Amino acid sequence: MQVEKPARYTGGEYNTPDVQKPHKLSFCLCFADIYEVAMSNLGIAILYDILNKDKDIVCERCFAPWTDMAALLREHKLPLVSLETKKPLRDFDIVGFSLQYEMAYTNVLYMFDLAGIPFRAKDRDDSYPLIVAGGPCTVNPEPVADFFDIIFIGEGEEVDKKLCHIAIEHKGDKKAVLEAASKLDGVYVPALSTLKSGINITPVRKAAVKDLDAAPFPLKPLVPNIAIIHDRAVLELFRGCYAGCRFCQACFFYRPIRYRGRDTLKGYAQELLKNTGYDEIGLSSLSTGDYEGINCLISEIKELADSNNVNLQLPSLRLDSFSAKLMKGARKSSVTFAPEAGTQRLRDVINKNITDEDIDKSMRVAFEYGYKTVKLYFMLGLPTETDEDVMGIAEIAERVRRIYFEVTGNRYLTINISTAMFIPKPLTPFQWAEQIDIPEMLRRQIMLRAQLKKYRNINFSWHSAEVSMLEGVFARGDRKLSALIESAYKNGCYFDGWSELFNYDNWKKAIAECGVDTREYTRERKVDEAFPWDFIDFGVTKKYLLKEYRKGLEGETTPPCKHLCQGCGAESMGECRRYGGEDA
Amino acid sequence: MLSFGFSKKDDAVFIPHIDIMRALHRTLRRMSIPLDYSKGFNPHMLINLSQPLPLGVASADEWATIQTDFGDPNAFVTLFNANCPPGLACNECHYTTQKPNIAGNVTASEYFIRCQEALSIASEIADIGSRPLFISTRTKTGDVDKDVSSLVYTAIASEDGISLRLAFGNINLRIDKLSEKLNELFGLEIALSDIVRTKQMIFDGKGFISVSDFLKGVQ
Repeated sequence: MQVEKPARYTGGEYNTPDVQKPHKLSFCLCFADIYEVAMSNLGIAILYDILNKDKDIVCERCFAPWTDMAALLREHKLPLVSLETKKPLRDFDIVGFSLQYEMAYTNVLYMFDLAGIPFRAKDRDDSYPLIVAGGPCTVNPEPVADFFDIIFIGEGEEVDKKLCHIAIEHKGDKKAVLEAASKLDGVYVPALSTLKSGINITPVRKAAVKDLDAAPFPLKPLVPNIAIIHDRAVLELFRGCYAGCRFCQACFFYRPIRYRGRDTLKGYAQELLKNTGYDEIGLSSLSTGDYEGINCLISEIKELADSNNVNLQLPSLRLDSFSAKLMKGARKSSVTFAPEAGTQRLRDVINKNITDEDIDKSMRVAFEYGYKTVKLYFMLGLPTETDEDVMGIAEIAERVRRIYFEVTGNRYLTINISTAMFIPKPLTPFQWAEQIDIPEMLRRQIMLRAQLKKYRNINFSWHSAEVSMLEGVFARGDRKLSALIESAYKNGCYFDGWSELFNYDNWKKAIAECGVDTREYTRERKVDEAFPWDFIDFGVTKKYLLKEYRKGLEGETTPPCKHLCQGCGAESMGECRRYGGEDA
Repeated sequence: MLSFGFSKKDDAVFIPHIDIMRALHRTLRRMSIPLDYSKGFNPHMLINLSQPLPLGVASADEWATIQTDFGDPNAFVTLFNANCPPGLACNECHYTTQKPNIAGNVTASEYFIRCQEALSIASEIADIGSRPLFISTRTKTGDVDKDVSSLVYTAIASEDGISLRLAFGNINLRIDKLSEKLNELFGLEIALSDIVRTKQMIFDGKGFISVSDFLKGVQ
């Protein structure tokens, strides 16, 4: 075989819709990573389903080919094609990218390059497809604004389809399409925006699905022919999050909090299992344990799963929602918690509303139920973090081990500690915070590693400091960064999210070529400073985020908004779901 | 117990053996027929699959056996074909009371290689089993050249290509390795997409019989 895993490129999955039907518009849904990652993305599955159900639209897929396949395409001078009908990307009416991760930006150019599509929107005339993007990275679309004709801000369920129909109406006239589309909620047209001091001031309102329970959900998703990362049926319980952790972008981006009803979910579970044949079903949400009636839902899904010999994959639950009831009957492999910070002080700063007692109690319960491996997730470099906070991570690990000995009389507990670097993200209270520089990141990682080495059976993994810095740069970057992305790609950077292919020297070369001062992007921001993403109305207000930032610096917590609205502003986008009463 | 023969063609030839197993699991689940599972903490479907096929090679004769109370082989074929991914298709199904152990009993496999030049080298092809034929084989200590001529049972060239019967099962001659060797020896350009496994065979003491005939005997 000339390529590894050729089934990545063949399509032909079970449940593939009829893509040969007569249609008025062809859409190619792209994902700037390999098949196994792309096919695990629920957003891709949802949009693929919605678009193909429209009688006028045919939607196909194209994912980033691995380097071996790309080399073959180049050698044989073949363009990048879709999975379903092997149609070149250039021949579609619309090519849409899902942007999930800042380090995939160079991969977008990699796919453009393989498809023979000019990088910049201004260099593409009407003969090229409309190139659009959406996904979580578009909270701050500015670093990639020059590459796309349209950027969707928010949830794509409704707006993607509306754009397709506008494109059908104005087929062949890109300008007319852009003008008509720019009037929709959730559509940002960089070419039609007005810049003031390099910052866009043309307002765009985020698109959000009003009624999630009635929103379309793929009940006949494609069943991949090769193993993918999340190889299971997935139920999306709700969007948004009550917790309000101050570093978490998804929490604020996906507000207002909207539910799928329990009966709807149960019906979906039945349909999904029947239509896919999966032997595992998972529950997906930002904080699944916070779903009102989660115990009841899990019992019902578990009953269904057991009767079908299907494994119910429980998600990583927040410590405060972890209960014996949820663990009952689950496979005792490993238990995952995310305290995020090593001390109570810092957990208060980030508004992770859990205490040391919560951690100890949950661990004790977990060990009583037979768990022998613990995964703990932390962040380093959080605002106000001190060396004491970093060492607190090791103290938690040691305390967990002590509890294990007390409960089981055994010392052989495996603890996997994983630390990510804090990256200040737009639309979070910490969007004003500083991201520590690479030497400081490394110092803290080394200090923690040295401390953890004193203990047995602790595996420590950490996120690359260089990658974290670049993520930080792009997360709060401006339009000038498109030149850096382009230069990095030309210097050989792609698949930057893959450690084996990430090449920091090439990035350094590109940074020098473009004269970019990375500290300018990772520094602490002034509270009255304009952000490149200020033109977007997310519902959640800047005023609220600033209030939260200040409270965070004071170590003051904000309770979850389960029962009482904290006034973040998201309700201007639709009603937030509150807890109606006791969990059933 | 049901043993079913299925084909693997088109893009499905790129689905590796472990994923074919997964695809069969999912197909069988979608069929909503009663299936037996192991009794452990994580119950697994009780299914046996014939020996792996090299990736990229098509087959008209793959076999699997499942433990089930579903007793209608004809309905099974229809249901399977309505629920399997494109490129897989069930050709026949046999009900047996005993476990047939197809993978353990198969001793040969027949292949057809599409090759326009085959007839021009017909005598050389007919001869490959009767003279030393060294193929590099990977062992624990590294790659070793082994004479595999005794594993070529028949080799016949025709106008369209080459028909081969090779050792298959516990003693095995890989068709992908042999086709590489034929390319090297005769300057051919056989690609994996030119090869199709046509039949798996079982030696019944008198001669080779197809799996299908073998299963009729098991009943």
